[in-house]
Amino acid sequence: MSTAIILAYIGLALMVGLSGVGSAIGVVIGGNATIGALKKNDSAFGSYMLLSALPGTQGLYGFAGFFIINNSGVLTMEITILQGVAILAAGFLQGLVCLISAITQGQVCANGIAGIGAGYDVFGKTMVLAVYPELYAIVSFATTFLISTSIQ
Amino acid sequence: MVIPMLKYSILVYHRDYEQFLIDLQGLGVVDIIGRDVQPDEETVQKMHLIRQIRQRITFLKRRKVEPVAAAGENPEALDILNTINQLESEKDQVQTQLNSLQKEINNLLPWDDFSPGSVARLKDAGITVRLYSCSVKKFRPEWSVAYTVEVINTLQSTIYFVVFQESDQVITIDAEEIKMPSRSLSEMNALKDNLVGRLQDINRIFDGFAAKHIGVLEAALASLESQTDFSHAVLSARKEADDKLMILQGWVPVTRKKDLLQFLDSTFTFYLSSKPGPEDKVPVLLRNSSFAKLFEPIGKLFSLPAYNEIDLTPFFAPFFMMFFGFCMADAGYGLVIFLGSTVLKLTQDRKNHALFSIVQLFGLSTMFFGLLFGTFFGVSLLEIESLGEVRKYILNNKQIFTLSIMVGLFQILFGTGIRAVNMMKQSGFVYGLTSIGWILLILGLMDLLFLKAGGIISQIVIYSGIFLIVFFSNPKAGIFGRIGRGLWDLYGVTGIFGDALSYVRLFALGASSSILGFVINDIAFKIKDVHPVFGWIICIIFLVLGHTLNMAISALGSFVHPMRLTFVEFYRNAGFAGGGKSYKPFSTKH
Repeated sequence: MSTAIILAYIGLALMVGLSGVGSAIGVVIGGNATIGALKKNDSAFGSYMLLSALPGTQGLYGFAGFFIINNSGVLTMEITILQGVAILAAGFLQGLVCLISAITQGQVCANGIAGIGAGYDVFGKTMVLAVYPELYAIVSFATTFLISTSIQ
Repeated sequence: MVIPMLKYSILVYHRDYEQFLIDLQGLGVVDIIGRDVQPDEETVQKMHLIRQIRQRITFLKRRKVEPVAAAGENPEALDILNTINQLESEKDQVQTQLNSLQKEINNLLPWDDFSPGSVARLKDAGITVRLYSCSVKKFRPEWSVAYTVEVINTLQSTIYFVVFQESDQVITIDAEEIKMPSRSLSEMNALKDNLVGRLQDINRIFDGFAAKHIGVLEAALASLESQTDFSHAVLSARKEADDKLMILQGWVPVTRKKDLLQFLDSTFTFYLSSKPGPEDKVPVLLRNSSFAKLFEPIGKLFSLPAYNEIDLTPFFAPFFMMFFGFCMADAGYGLVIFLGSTVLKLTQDRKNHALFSIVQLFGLSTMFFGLLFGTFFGVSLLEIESLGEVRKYILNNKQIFTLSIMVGLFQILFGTGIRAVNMMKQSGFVYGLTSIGWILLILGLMDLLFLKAGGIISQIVIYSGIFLIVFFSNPKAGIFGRIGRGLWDLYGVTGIFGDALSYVRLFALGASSSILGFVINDIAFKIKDVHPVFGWIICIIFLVLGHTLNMAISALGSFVHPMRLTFVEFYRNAGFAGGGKSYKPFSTKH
């Protein structure tokens, strides 16, 4: 087994693993805030649910990134060291960015949920602010896409 | 567009004022200025009552009881409110009693049912009954020899026993003594049954109210809101001429001006009208085409425009619809969304028609982009041979990536164009030149970076843009002030790149939703091969569940991200300030 293929799969593990963990933590932060807010105002559960779900997308970007690399046709025993390192770098950067982006997005959503629970009309504004940290997860996914096209 | 408003100052004789307000409330066109004055004591009480009734309506609706006709019953809202309040506090008391009683019952359970009366009779006869408990390990058999001991129960390694103490006997036992209960277990259980029964009765009464009398409370709420509105209107008038003359001021949209004038003329009321001044806080009422009107609720999620601004709803509406489709990007999902919303529109209540109409548009847009990007329920249309030549019109990922940024730049340019027109309209031609400069700069840079077709012309365009930005960012200042402000504004070119890059999300969301759709199909068809009969059934169930879930997640992202692109990138480049207050006419609540 070549070093390159090992590096590539470590990259993919980081990509899917870290982004998945980030999303899991992010949605839990939102979910916990929802349970607290329900005690004050249980009529806005729809808004809480939508906001809690937002950090779930980073894990999907991680998976989509893996899919793009997987379908690029470079994951064979003939993979070069350059391709292996490129996939490792893509995996590390996307995994790390998605991890932190999902957690911080969960925190923004949690504050919005608490605000709605306290009776403030901040659903729309929270939605807008909550997708600020998501942009960087999207940019990291786009980077993975660009890396995958450049190493084929 | 924002409907122009007129300010009316109306003079009314103080004795006619109350009747005049009653008629004005019925008319429902004037947004009275100063209705946020400090209310009087009576109004404060009514507002408190409104809050209470609202809480009680929510409380009753939460019981989710089917409504029934209240045959022959016609209680007053206040009586219902008082009854609910009393029963609520009784319910809390009963619940507290029940909790402490349950604790007592739990403590008494190991001793089984005995009568405290018998214990009292033994005490009269000179024998005191004492209850003890300790762990099985600590229990000493010699206690049974020294005293009269009866073991009652052993539970979870704890032993419960009774010592019959004679009058002159000294008991030295190393165990925890338990206080003798005042009631027997059967008495306590009977009491518990009573309390539980009472709780059930209270809940039944609440259910009865929820089934029959929510309408009474809602009617009372509407009436009280109208009354408090009326009180605010009474207080908002300015008194002149020894309090004999009341001056009421308010805003009326030009579209409703005729109604007001008819009313004022018919009552021979004196009034003055004027256009809003720069210091006026004018309420905002929007009027848009039937298409743009559908997008007004989305715009309101962020903010209404200020009165003197352009309403951007008709300008962001087509983009929003397009972005939704760009993010979902699956013709199959678009078809489901379109058909689903069409069916709902035909079968559901008219009040939700606007919602279903906008969802229909989202469905159409999703279908269009799904076909353009070649995805139908996760299946790549490029792989379908029978489509033949049509497939050459399908875009690949690289083209979609570029398209997302191009679309973004186009929206940024469009927004900047709106800002230019807006500035020229509001402040004069020269104030719009800086925005024109930005448009020239972006177009020049686009050619320099992507198309590379303009050559010297694009360089001239870039320099012209920079000139306009540097020299016209602050036309009021002196030459050095202008250049300083212009150079500072020019630094904002980094923001243009950031904004353009932000539109990459359109590509990423579309790609991730179609990738997930593909993966769902892949897994489902692998499941199919597991079993000749059940494989198909599980495959279909998996396809339906998987695509439904993917559609829900994608729809959420496809709604939220265009919202951000609209409110952040587009609004900022269009110079939107927002902060407008909604037009709320003084009217009777129903």
